Amino acid sequence: MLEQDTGLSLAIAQIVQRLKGSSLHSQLERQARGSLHKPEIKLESLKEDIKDFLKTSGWEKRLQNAVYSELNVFPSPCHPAAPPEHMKEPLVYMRKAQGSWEKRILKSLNSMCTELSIPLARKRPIGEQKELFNKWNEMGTDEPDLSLFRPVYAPKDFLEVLMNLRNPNYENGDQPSFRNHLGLIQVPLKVKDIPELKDYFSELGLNTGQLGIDDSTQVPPELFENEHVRVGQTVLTEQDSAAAQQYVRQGCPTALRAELWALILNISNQPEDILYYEQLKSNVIQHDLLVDSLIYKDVKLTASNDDYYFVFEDYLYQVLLCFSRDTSVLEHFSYNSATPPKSYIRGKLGMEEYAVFYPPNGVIPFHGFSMYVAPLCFLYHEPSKLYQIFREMYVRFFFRLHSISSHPSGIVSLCLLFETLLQTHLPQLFYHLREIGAQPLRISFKWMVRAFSGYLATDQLLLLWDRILGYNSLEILAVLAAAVFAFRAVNLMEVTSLAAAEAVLADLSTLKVMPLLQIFLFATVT
Amino acid sequence: MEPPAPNPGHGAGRPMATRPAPCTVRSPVVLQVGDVKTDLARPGVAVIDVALPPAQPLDLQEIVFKNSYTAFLTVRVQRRRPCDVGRASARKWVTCLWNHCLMPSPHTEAGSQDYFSLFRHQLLCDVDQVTAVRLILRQPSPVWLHFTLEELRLYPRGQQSLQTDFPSWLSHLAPQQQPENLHGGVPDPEKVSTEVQQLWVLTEMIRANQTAARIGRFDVSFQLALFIAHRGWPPALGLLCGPACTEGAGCILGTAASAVILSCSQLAMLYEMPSNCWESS
Repeated sequence: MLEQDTGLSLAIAQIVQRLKGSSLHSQLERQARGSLHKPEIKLESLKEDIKDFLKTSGWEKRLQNAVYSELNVFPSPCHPAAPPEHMKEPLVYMRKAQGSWEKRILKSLNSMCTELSIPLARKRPIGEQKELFNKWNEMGTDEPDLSLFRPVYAPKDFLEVLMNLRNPNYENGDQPSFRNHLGLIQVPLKVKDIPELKDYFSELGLNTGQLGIDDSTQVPPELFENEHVRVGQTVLTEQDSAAAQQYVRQGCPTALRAELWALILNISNQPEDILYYEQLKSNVIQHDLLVDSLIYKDVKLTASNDDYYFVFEDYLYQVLLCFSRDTSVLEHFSYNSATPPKSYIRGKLGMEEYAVFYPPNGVIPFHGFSMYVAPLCFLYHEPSKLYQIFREMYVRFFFRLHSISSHPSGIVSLCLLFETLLQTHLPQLFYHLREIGAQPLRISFKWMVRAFSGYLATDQLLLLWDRILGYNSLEILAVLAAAVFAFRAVNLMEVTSLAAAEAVLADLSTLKVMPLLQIFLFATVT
Repeated sequence: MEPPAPNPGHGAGRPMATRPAPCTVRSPVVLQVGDVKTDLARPGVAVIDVALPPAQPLDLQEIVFKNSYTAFLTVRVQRRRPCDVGRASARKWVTCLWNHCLMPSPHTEAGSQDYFSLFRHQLLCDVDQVTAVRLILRQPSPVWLHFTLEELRLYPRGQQSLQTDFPSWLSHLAPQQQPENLHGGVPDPEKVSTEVQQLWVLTEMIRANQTAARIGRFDVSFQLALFIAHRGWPPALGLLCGPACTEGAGCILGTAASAVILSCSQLAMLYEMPSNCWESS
């Protein structure tokens, strides 16, 4: 650990380094230079006057938002003696497990490639390029033959890997003892208990107004809703990221949600961002990747079959195909425990100069990946803005849901948190389900990996994702999963098999998220 | 032009000139009551001895290591003192760090494989002229099979393990902004309360000196208005005074509304100050 002063200097140095190359830096310089013509800037107090000018013209606020965004996304700097892998994942055995999991995925991808004799990437002929360009907005009407493709992996395969995760330095005896966890996850990570969660999620408490509870038709809007909307509009006019993040913890009004999320994620649709998206689009048109077929298959299997999201099929293709080609996503691998797979140009295996990352963004989509994008289509209609929002949400949150890491928001910690909460507060239910061979995590894992997308009704899902953004953490997914089990506990106590338990929990679309969370955290007698 | 910023990324902050001091790190010795081989209970204490070359006592600046499931660390050093010269007797061990927590929750993984730095100013005693260092490791949780420290390095004084050569003003946070004083346009309450005291004395004097002579409607309220206008208080206050001055030739305010004797609490409301600041009345 770094002590406070050196840690602070290092953090400041890293943020300065990262912001120096950004477009914000050049815009600030241009503004400062332009301000020299103004009469209120005097030579004697040049520094102070320019600082005041930047403050009043709103540029300081933008810089603050950028710094806040960097602090939220990048972890605090490591000790200088630590190697780069340490920032990705401090625990050695987890790095090894992630490495072997990645090898398995790549083997599966390569074998599919050889079986179907399809190249990983090829340049499209001109005719095909023209056709795709004309059909860009209606790619859903395309019906390629995808029967031979299969998804590279599904969430239940990933669960098997997590179940077998063991720390070699931990005493994993066969005899049941206090050291063995009763659930599926056997890794001793630190998770919060209910008192700590109550403190952490204090804004969800019974005495604080929430959208999702206090905006229902029986509650007069003067009590909470009107004031909350007014505060939201003030936050938007002030353009303050940190204030928006705090505000969103109590829920976002539907009309303001799109702009508030963009403010929190620090996305402003600048011309260069639109240009970048157009460039990615031209990359899609020129080259065809094997991963594209996987994306098509995934969208057809999941989003197109969903009652809420099938209308957005075309948007999903437009976002996901561009996402696979976006090399700026590679930056997030410095704090992601995963490593992007490398592939070699034909005939030059093993030679580093001919190695490229495949797919270009380093992320291989799995079954259900398109569900991360689908709910965002309700908020953003312009493809380039939708794309940027999705990319930012992926590199902040969603990548943690399918990589093995010890981070408190990583999927391993979420699973352990879920199992611990259930075991501590519903011990009879936990024991009963375990006895009938229906370990609760087997049912809730798929909810958490998809961040409940496709399982909850869309308005409830968006309220849940408001809190994910507000608290900058995914722990609320585990708490909600435990709350759902608590809600259906009576029915679950009567089932006698895993299939019956799954049937009880098959349909979550009628659930209201915020009352469940409040009751579980604040109103359950323990 | 400011100098080009370096890349302060992982490990690159250490310049080439810094070298750890040469020392021999012995492997950890486990302290256990009873026979190490047959006893089933796991030991919770281990000791790592670090021997420095005898002729080169070290002025210690920093200790750097990688943790491997140790929960608490105690560091003791043996120093060479000028009074020891010539004496062959055993030198004293001094504790310079006691029970430093490396893993906040010893049953779980937090902090278990992290890198740590201990600087000389964090230590309890002076660590100059050190001839030997002893690290006492404790791991109270029985769930871990082994615990130790790895990659242990001692850095002598004058060489920092962390150097960042960007402008030093960047490392200091700006001082926190004081919230704006919204009462800037309002007169000082102390001054106002003394003046209101004078006003009150005036009113008492007038009341006491009720003469038969008519002064017309030139009454206290007009005096208040004059007083206020004379002091240069904002005109809004002046508008509340008024129409009693029918003998209005000298009326500064020139309105025809009725006069209002403003009570102190009304004055306070106007200036948004707590009315208890008007102690005199």
